[in-house]
Amino acid sequence: MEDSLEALFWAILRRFESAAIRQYDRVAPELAEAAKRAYVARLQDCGATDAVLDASELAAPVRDLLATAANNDLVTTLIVQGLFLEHLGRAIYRVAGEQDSMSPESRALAADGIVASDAVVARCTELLARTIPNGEDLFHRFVDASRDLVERLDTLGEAVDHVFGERFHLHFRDIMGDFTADLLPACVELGMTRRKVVAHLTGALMGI
Amino acid sequence: MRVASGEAVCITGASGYVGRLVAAALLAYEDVDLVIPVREKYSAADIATAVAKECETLGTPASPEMLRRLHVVALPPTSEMASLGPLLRQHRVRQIIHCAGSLSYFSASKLKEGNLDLTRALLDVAKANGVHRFLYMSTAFSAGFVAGQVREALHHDPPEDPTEYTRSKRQTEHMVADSGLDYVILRPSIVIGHSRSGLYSGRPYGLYQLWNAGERFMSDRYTPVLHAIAPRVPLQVVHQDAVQAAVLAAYREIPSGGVLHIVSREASLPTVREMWDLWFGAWARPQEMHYYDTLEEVPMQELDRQQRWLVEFAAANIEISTHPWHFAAHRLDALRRDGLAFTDASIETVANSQRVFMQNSPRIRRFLEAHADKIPAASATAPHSAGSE
Repeated sequence: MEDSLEALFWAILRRFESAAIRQYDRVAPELAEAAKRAYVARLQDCGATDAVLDASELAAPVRDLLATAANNDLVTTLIVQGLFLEHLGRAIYRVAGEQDSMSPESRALAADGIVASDAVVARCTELLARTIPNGEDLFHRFVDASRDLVERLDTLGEAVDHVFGERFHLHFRDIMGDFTADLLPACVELGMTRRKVVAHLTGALMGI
Repeated sequence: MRVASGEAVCITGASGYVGRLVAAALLAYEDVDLVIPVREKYSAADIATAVAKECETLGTPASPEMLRRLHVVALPPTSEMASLGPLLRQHRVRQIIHCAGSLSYFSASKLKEGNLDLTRALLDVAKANGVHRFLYMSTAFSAGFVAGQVREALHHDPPEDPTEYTRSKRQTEHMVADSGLDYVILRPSIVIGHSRSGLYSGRPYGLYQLWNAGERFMSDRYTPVLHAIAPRVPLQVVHQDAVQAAVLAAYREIPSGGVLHIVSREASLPTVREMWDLWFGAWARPQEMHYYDTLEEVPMQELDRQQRWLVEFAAANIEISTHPWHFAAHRLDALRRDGLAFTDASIETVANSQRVFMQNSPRIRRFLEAHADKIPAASATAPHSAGSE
């Protein structure tokens, strides 16, 4: 990957996707879908390296977000990784895939990232609905599991705006728009109240 | 109702905004020792500095003599709250003004721990150690979504609560009332900065949450057309100096069992729409503004994903404010008649708080610099409004 900023972009996604498959393997093997595993393998070979990420201002917020996501509990993993971060990843891929400033290779890789996530999200929704069928109960678990994550996400968003905003027109605001457009219906499908999910995300984003 | 000479008042939550305001007010205007329990992560020096700063905002700089009346002590874990007892006895604490609590909107575990469990533990240690009176800082919205006037009394469960937070505060009010201690319930609406200086030292709650979200998500580019939920209902805000004055009056004058709504007069308050006009007109300055009374009226399918998200998030931010609240204020009116100086919030005083917020926002400054060539100049008039009327 010749473009250094694109290489950084994919280094971030590579780290997120690698952490996801490790978390699935360890705590929720049913989400370790073959398509996701194959996609992670592709990212390993895409030319992005950890060194690029580690040298950037994004290293710390990425590390903090991933540390917050790591856990040993099945329900937390389903909520944090299978629901929240999968939808976030899809939003990032979608927004990046729409940017003409990205190379055709990157746009194609982003589109494949969404496809690789499809089966994981579907399986996760099924598992969550079976594990916690009551929407209100699930909402409370969602609040507790995602609160710190949203706060860390906001910090990462600041850095994303700074690093990718001008060149790729990749803004946190756009990613959040796309993310919530996907996540909210998914939460509602699981029995959560849309208004409450929105209020929770808003409050958590503002550190409340 | 003041404590006697040589006795003290304990104020919880002084590491937070409202507790700090209350501590500053008592330090500035009452000759009483204050016992301030805070979690171990806060140092006594930091607390003293923060309280002193609020004294300055009040216009009464803290002298060394005043600060010597401030006794910062360690707040034990809730399960070990009984260990606070010897300190309460040592300082002869007779009243507790309980401002600590969880402000989480929906985290049931945090709300139980921070509101119900903590208050129960404090009530127990108070009863066992000679405390006579307990003033509880609740919220004007503890009634939940109810029709008609919100009474100055304990509330039954409403058909719906805006958040788990309001439910938790209502439950805690009942716990205080049932404790057997003399009590007063204090219910401020949305607290904003000082009415004149606009200074504000709290976290981004209430109106500040909305402003924070606005600067966070709208300052990356100029948006010529904006949509917002903006009914013409009063925005229930109250200035911090008014809260301080009212709490002092409650401490001095309100008898046990009293509930005090600390709210601005409705006639004075700006409407939600006026607040939006003030905000958008000051910096975002869209060419076109579409206002709606409810989220259901917004033609979501006509908006792009980002606009939809902004509208929905802003609506969630101010949902509590778009309900037509009508608070009974008989006690506050009586205090005013007795001389309480209470500055009602108005569009002019809210503008002071907004001005300070904008001055302290690098994002807004950068936005105004970057888009100076394409945005309409700021004017006294509102942006062009369209949408539901």
